[in-house]
Amino acid sequence: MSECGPAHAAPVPSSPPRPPTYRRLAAALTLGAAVRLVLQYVPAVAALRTAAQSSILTTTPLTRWSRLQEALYLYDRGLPLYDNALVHQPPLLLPLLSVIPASMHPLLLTIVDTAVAAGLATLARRQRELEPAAHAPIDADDDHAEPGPKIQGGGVAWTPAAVALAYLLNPLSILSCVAMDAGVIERGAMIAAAVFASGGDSIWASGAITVAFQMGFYPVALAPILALIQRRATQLSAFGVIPAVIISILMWNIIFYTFYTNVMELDGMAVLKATTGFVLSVPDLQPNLGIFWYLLTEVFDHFRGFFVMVFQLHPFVYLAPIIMRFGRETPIFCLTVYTGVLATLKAYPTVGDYALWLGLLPIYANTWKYFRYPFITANVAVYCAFLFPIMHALWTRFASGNANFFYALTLVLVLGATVLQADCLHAMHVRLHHAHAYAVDKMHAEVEESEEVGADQVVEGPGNGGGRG
Amino acid sequence: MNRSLALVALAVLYLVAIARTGHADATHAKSSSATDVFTEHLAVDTLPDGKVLFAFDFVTKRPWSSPGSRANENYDLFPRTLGQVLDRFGVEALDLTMTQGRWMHDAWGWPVDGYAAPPGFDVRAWLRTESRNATTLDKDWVGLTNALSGLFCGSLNFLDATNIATPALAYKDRQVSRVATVLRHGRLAREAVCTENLTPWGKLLPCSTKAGLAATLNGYRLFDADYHSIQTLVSISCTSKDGACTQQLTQRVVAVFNPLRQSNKPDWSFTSLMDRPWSRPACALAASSTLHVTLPDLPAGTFQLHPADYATVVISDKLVATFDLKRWSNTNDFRFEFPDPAPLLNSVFDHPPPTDFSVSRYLTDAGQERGILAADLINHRQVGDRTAQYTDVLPWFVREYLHTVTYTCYPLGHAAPVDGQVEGVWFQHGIDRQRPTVMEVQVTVPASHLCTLQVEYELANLQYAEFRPDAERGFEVGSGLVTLFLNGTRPARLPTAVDAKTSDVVRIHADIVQMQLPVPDFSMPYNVITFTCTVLAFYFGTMFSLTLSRAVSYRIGEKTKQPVVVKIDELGRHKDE
Repeated sequence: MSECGPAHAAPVPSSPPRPPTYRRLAAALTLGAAVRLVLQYVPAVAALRTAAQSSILTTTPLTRWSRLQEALYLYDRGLPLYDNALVHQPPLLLPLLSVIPASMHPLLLTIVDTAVAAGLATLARRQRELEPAAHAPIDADDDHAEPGPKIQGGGVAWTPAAVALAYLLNPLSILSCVAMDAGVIERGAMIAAAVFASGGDSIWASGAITVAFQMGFYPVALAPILALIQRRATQLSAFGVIPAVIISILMWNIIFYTFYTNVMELDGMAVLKATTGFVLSVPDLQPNLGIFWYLLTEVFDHFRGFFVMVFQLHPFVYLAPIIMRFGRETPIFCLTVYTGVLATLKAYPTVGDYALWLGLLPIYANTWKYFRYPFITANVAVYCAFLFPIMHALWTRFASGNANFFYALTLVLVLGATVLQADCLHAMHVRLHHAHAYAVDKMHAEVEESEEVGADQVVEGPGNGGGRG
Repeated sequence: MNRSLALVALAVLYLVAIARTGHADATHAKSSSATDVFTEHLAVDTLPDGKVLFAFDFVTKRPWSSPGSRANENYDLFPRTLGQVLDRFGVEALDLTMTQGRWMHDAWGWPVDGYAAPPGFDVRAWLRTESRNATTLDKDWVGLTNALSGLFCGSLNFLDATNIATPALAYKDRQVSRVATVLRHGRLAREAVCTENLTPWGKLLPCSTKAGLAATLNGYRLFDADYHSIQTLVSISCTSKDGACTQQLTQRVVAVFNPLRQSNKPDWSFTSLMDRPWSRPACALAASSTLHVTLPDLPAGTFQLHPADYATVVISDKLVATFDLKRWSNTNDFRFEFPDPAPLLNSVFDHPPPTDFSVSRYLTDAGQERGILAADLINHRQVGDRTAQYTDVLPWFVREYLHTVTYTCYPLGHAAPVDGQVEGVWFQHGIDRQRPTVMEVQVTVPASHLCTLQVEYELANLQYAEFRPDAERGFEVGSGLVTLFLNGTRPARLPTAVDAKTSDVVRIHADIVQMQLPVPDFSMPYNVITFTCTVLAFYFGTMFSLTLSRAVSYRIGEKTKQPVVVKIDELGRHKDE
């Protein structure tokens, strides 16, 4: 619990563990919420709000706020919700949004987005306990260091407050929130599911991931990862946890759909077709950050079904290898990696999806020193941040560029995401490997010491540190 | 026996031949058309701005019994090609208009109902619903449009489910009461009208375009007119007394010519406008053939109509010169001359606006992704509100948001808006590649107010093959229709049609708007597939090599040469101990 202390606290070995202080976290959340509320409510930045709400980078047809408003308008008047090509969100939110006055809707999204940050902080805190491998010592310095935020496995780990602040002040997450993107709520549900799972609560984790699934389909792939997080938290067998999570997700879906059909009196098939079906069949080809839209615009008709199928299967292909490699030791790292996979490969990605990925990455800040290509990643980030809006305007507004300019940028973004993803995986590999190597060295050293010198002597760690092969 | 058969056959052939050539004398014609009646009528009017309206009406009537009856198989003057199509697909009434240009309501006044038609091809069919469900109706609609497409050489076969509408408010006054019908309305805003449409249309006439009024139709001149509309209108009416029904085919050509453009004078004649004098023989099959020329409301002596031996009648408070062309032996041209054009030309500028209600439809805030579609409805009257219905059918790729429909009124001459009064909204959301968006709004336009109806829309991105050639030009989005209920307050202006019922309804076709969609690069299909798949392959390879390959290290020069493969649980245990 002491890792919640201030980053610069002097390690005093004799002092008792400090009580958890949430002051820094509270300050970070307040700051993040304040920034969002200012941008949401101050009239001077109304133009920014309008631009963000209609930009194809911050919202997609799946999550656009105007579509949710249309749904709300239809819901309030008892008109058929899904007899159109506009509404693709499940009816779940509508009773809630209908009760809250419209002027409070931005506040609701701000609260959800701040809760996402709080959830990230919680995950960062719990990750220390759930994933000791990611924090195991890799050299003698670590052995002597106090368990604290400063030195962790040769890299600097961030405090939960810093993780939360990094998400809250990320321009991408701010933009996504100001754009009133329904994806904020979807990501809130994803992080809530992870937090529930890390607390060992599989029922509520499944409930939350079901909400995210109904809003955006892809989060359902996180189910096995959530089960593994829960396994770390509860020490249960993986063979028990994974089916339990899957069955409870099924149950939640049945409960939701029963609610839709019986209480809200909707056609369940219409709901499924308009929400999950819309994501799966990708009928809307509005440009976005992803790889689907231009290919499906250009592809010949008789190949369309094939490409949709292959591209939709594609993100799920990575689930097994990621889990096989990292699922047992570091399931939250699996969550981080897979969030990145979804942001890159989903049909309707927004900057918010990248913001969530970038929000989870600081939990593993202690592996960053093993990054090989941070310069390339940083350059791609800057390049994309500037050129995406410019290229889109050149194409659709000024007609001096064409669709290929924007399309090329989506490819660059995927390449940049590949490099960052590769760096994360590589860094974690190296980190774990060094920890293993050091542990083995220490084991050997202990064995040798005890054999040769005798058991009463103090064990010294090897001075030259673990192998850095 | 054989000889008598041959004689009968010859007689039949002879009768058919004389009926079709139109050179038979009237008595022969009469004997062969005992049931069908064909009349032709041309109305000419000088419009307030000096332009000349020609309205040809060719009406064929035939007795009609219940659908599917054998009696309907007898065709005389009524064109069999059209009649069989209508019978086959259960069409109770049909309006097919092929139009170029716009009826300028603000300059020409409100026309007789039907004279003003939206640009492009417009089909309205009232299909009998008896023993037909939606699926059969859809199938029959496809059959009907394909048949009409072949009959009139238009691209009407493109009118599939994606761009037909069943309006709830518009054309309600035209609803057939005799049987249950459903209205299907389709429109091709971009379809150009040409001689290839006029020729097959003319062939449906009993005398073709060889004799009678139709002989004066000159395609070159007609398609040069400011506004022209070629129409085919079919309806069935029954007398309430004995229930006898009549199927009526009205073939109509409405054209607005501009004599000033040709001769710099407002004078006109058949020769100057049509490049053909009135010299052809009258159609012998026509029961009547009349010409009505409305005399302008100008001082006597400032205009002259030649020949001057005409009779006059008063229609809708206007003095109309009438000619019976059946008895017309004079091959002289009809000429309308203005020895003193000043009063006419002055009236062009001094004349008060011929209508008191104007409509303008436009895009605002529009880009290639979204915009606002707006219609201004202006009631110029000092006293008296107007009730208007606004109908808009938009292709599926224009996605309108129902929650953004606003209606605001501004008193003319004042800036402060007041709340508009919306009496009802009927809205059908479009569905991708399935059905169009249909918006119908009934509003009240207060006297001396400008009211703006606005709705926000978003444009969908089309697939590569869904763009038409010249994609950069954008898509014409059909004209909005404003239906105005006059309640007996119609300003007296155009009388023209001989049997025009002074309808209480005025239909104003608002401006067509053009929407530009974001266009992909049409040369890219293979490139996109290869580029995207390469990037994905890179992603796939990187991820799999980093997740599935195992980090194994051998440390050289140390005691242990064993590869380091330690399970994390061992590590944890080790640490805990």
